[in-house]
Amino acid sequence: MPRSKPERRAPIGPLAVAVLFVMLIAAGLVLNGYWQRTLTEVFLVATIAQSINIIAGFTGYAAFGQVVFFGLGNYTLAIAMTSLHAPFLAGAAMGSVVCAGFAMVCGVPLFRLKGHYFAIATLGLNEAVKAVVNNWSSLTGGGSGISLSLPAGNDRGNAQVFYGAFLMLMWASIAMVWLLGRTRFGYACRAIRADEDAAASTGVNPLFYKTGAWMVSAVLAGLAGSLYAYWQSYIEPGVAFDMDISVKGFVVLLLGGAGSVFGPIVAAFVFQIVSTVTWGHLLTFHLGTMGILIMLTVLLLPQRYTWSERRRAVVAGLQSARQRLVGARP
Amino acid sequence: MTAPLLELRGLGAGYGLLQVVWDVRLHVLPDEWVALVGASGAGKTTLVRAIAGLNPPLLGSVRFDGEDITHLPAHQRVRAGLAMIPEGRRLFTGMTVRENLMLGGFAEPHAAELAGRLADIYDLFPVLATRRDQIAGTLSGGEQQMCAIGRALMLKPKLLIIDELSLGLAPAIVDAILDALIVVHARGTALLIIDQDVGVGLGQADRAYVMRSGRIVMQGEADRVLRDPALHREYIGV
Repeated sequence: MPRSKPERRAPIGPLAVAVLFVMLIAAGLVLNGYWQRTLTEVFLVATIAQSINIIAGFTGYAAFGQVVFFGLGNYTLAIAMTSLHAPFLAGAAMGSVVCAGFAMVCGVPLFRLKGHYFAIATLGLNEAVKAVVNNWSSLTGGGSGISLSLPAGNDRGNAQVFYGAFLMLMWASIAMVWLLGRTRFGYACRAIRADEDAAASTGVNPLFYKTGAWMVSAVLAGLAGSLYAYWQSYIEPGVAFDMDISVKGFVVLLLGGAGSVFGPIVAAFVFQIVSTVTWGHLLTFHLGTMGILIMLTVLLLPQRYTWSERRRAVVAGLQSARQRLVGARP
Repeated sequence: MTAPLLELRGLGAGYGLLQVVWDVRLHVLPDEWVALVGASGAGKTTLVRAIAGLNPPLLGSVRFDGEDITHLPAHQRVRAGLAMIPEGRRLFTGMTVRENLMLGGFAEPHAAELAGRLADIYDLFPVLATRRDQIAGTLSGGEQQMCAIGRALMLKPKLLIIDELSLGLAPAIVDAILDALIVVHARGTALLIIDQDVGVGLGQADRAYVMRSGRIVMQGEADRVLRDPALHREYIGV
């Protein structure tokens, strides 16, 4: 029986990471407003995808309604800055606390569910929170939303600040996922994804680690939401709790490989830039392109978490095809 | 008489509203090797899942090492020294052999202690050492069972329960695993071995229980149970 060595080598070396790091900072300084904005959106999508990576990719719980934390991050920041006149960082910190607390309180009942049931329950969670935000007008402004005052300074400078802030948040999300691949906490999450009963039978407390993973991923999504609200300076329930954000995050995660550290980042670049280009040049076919990309992802890359698994599946497929061809000869 | 390590009193277990196991009285003494046999569908797996805490018991009580653990969650039972290998091994198939074994020691925080135990397990099953970096899902059935036993031994359990030890394994492999279990038992771990195969289940055991339709229908010294014509009736149904 041939021994298959697992891949110890990281798919992207430290040098490539350093080059990417420097290039993205340089890009923020030289690019024009349009591409700067596009890259800022890439970082946002990448952060959301990594947030979903932690709970879905590593822990195996497809939190489809993950956008609920993005929305809570939006609204906590907006309320903190308008009603409490808090500075941005204080508002973002409050958003993180709200998201972590909400994930903890909801995790205890929801993690009794598995698979599709859990995914649908999180969808319901998002709809429920959206309905509350829509109707609690005295606090949230209801359907008319909340306007935030723009940060002081000129447009170009602000755009660079938001570019830098989203870039930092994306690196933080990468670091979080990277750590998850190397720590005891991450091992527990992967064990739960592989087999929850077996994990419990080795002494892993499933509820503790599932809830913990969800809290970490909720904070990432919440921070992205807080930053987004300040960037856009206007929020409303339809945008803050837009399921498209979850869907985008999942597509990017599946495209890049769930459980992978840099796959979702590369996928976020590809997805968002394809999306922007088609928006600019194929206005009428924009949504169609996205739909085709999603279908291709699902059809061509089903049930394979990482690129190495996918490569192995392709190689195995080719080998069996060759054997059939060779075997068919007399 | 020494106090039993594991003691079930009137245990009833099942899934939701469906009760499958009825009024089971069973005990395992420290250092004892106990077999639980029965035909397919007798309720053996449901019973051991209830003992391990994977299904909450519906009725009765489970005592382990002097404590009532009836309502203790599964991961805390493991820490108390009660290890269970579920039916079908249930390895973390995408991880390497070494990662599986290390996860078995999840509750043991001292790295040096874990390294020593890992070496012990490689001594017990040398084939695992040669395959330490291999993905567990690509092992043969026998190697997977060895890996599962190794994983369970990482916490030095007082009692090791194995559900369907010989399922899908060649007789020679089963013998090799039984030899290793004799060593484990000699080092002071009590065993509760569940099997459909009476020969595997009873060969090395001190005592045996026979289950049918969710109840214990026979018990006693393993040799005597093995020779009892009633056992054959349980299986062949005549």
